[in-house]
Amino acid sequence: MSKARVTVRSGFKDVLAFGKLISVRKGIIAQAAEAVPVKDFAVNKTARALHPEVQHMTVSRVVSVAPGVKSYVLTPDASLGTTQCAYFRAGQYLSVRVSINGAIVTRPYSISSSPARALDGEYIITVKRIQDGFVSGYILDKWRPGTKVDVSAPEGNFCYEPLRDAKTIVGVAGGSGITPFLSLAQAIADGTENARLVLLYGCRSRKDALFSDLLDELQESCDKIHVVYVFSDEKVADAERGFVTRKIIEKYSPEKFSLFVCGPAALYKFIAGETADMGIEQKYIRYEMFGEIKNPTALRGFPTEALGKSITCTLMHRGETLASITCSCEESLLTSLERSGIEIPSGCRSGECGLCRARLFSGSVFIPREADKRRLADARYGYIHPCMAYPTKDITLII
Amino acid sequence: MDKWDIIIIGAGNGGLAAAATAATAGKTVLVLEKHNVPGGFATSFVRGRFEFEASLHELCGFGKNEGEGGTRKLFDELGISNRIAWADVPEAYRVISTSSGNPVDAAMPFGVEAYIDKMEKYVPGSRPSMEKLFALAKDVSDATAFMGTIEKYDFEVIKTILKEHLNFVRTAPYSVNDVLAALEVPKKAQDIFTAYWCYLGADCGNLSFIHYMSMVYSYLTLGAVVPKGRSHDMSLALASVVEKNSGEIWYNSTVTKILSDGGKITGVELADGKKVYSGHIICNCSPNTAYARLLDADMVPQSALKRANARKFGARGFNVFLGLNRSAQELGIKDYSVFIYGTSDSREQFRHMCDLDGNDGQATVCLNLADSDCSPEGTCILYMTSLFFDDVWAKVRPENYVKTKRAVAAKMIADYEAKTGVKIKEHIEEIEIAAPMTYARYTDAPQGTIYGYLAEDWDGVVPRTMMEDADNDIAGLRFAGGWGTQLSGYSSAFTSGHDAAVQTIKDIEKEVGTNE
Repeated sequence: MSKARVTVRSGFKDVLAFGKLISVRKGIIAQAAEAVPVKDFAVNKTARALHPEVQHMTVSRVVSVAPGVKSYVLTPDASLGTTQCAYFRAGQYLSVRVSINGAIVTRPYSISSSPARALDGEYIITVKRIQDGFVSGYILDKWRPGTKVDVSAPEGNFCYEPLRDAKTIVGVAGGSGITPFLSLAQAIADGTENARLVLLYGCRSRKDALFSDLLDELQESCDKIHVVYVFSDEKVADAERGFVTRKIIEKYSPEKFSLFVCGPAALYKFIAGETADMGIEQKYIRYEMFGEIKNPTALRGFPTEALGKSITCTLMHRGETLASITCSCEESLLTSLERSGIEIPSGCRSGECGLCRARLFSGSVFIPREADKRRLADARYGYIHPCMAYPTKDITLII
Repeated sequence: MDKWDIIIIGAGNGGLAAAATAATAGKTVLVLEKHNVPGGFATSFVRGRFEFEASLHELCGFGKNEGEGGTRKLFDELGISNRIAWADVPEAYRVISTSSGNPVDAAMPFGVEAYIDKMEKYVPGSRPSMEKLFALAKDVSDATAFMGTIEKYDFEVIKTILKEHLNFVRTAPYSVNDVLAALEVPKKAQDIFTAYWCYLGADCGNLSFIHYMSMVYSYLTLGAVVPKGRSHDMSLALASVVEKNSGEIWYNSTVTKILSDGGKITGVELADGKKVYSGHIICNCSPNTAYARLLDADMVPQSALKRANARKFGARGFNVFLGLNRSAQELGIKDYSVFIYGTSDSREQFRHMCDLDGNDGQATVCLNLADSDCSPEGTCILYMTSLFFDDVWAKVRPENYVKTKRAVAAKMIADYEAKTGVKIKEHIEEIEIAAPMTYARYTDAPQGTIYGYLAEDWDGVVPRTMMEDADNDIAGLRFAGGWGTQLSGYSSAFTSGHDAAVQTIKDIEKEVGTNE
């Protein structure tokens, strides 16, 4: 101990105060109430209202949008305990859980209705039939008013953020990629979001443009919304002909804008090419997640020795072997698991959200470099996102 | 396996340290975690081309050499110190406070000598009092090291403390401000010295001098580090120690009940109905949660209920994570960590943090100044932390949640720009805002509290340590993490987890002795 004696009040008082530390604490505790502490708190309730583990919904209405495209109005199913729609930001999606022939699968669908409608107790999602689509076909054929559907809390970050984005969003939509913009346009029109939207909507022809009536109406009623149709196969007055090229983007964009892109993978590639020399900073271009990769074998780096092969995946959970299944090397691990009737948490199916994160205990997988959104340490310790991992050898996976 | 020596609820820093300690000691250990990642608040997340650290500003108690500092010692014992790549935090902190009359803008270095020299530069004449303060710090540090070895506070121990550690005894009952005043530290030097208070979560009129001084002394003598793989790297390293020693961590496994029979803890039940058994449980959640929701009513004694009701919750978290599209150099960011307060006195600062609109305090870190490779070239990561000391977020409705947190974030960003002169707004490429709801969501912490119980004077580290035995009033159950004896913070949580495991192992050994 240093030689200098320190006193705060006085030598005697200080030692006395030290001696009292315990009795003071005992005294305060003794005076406290004996009731069982509060079980729940407003902040925790709000957190659960915003991010419920699951939302039990009922299809209350089905609206035919176009051939092979339907909108489903989902309302909370109070009989199963869901009394409200979790509020969301325009551009977010719901991960829809469906059971098809014993396989439990999820698919992310952007919410196409406005956040304000969620406060009135409904979400709308729009489903387009995809050729050979496992889930879209099922939904379009089976869902009808009264169908019970479990969906996730609203997820995703394809949202306007005023602290980050320019005040004008230039939205490039391809096909059914219109849905998040439809939500955003409505949110702008009803004042939920304060931004301008220039929507460049690329389709084959007028009849392929989904929700054009609603879009036209929104444009009519709100001067912050400008819709430009870009038809590749048809020449229409007041619409552009061709693709959403650099020229078209420049023609309709103000000096400062944030480019938001949603549509099929081919559109992303095209837009990336068109914008490459436009000098747009990376922060001003955002692509919505692409979802499951349709043709992984075409990806750069896909191991040729795995082509056409399948492997055995041993699945461990809570220290026990859960199953041993055969997986195609050309399919994501998540899809193979679901095909075998095994349900693990999942969300974006694009490698981003991390909900399906699991440990690759042995074996090896191919992870497309551009879709590897794992944490640094996860990659080092052998954790993978099964939605974006293609097995190349027999593996053991711990979930 | 259904039967375990020890079951640990929650894989946060405390739970993981407890599990790693117990598994290394040869006990069979099961950790139950509701998420699919370990770490609790010690984690990271990816947005665009950035991986954000979720909570750690700088790790305390981790020196350069083996065995230097409490956390280092524990990580050495567990064999993970060298498995984690570390980056050195370059300087202690900068503090800017702008209240009229007492403006402060001071950049403080590590190293006691350098710190005192710099303080003399900012506050001429402060040297004698600062030298006295750091001589005292050494005494305090020795005393707390001694107290860390104590099993039970009996008469002999108290006698030794009174004899060998009198300066500790004389300052232990008091707040930081009391002791600084007694040592006649000039007010401006006090305002600079107390900047770190928000790491511990009570203002310096309320915060134990011993607690605060120990932390500052550790920072200044040992420096600080951050793991390059973010705190998630530490979480995974600890998890791997558990698994290598035959322990198990079950993810996606929420505990809904602690089972008991005839007054004895027997195990836990999971949300899906599965039951696992052990007579020894270490809880990494809040005692309030355990008492109100997990334990059978007959298992919670009056003393525990009263204690829970007497305490207040500590800081609720608020964070703004920014991925910027310019390098720190291009932007002119010079400080790794800067505390910005709207007023210079910590009691006033605390009061401001009880108000949703009036909160003007932040602790902001630019990770690249410690770890230049933490984000792609030409970018940097900046994260801003504020705290709320009242349940002001309770009134925020779900539909106003995003707007409310964005308004708070916008104010913090504007404040940072105004006070440091660094312009960042135009360069935000990624932004994520975490509010108390976020913390409530991820860990179920009451009200989104990230610091456990408030470190008030009567419930500070010294009385908590001295009453640890009395507080441990449910046989078979101990607590680890920020809600425990050591209070919150990374190094404290690790220590508390380690201690909980050591004590539980002793409990088990005692039981074996009785059964024989």
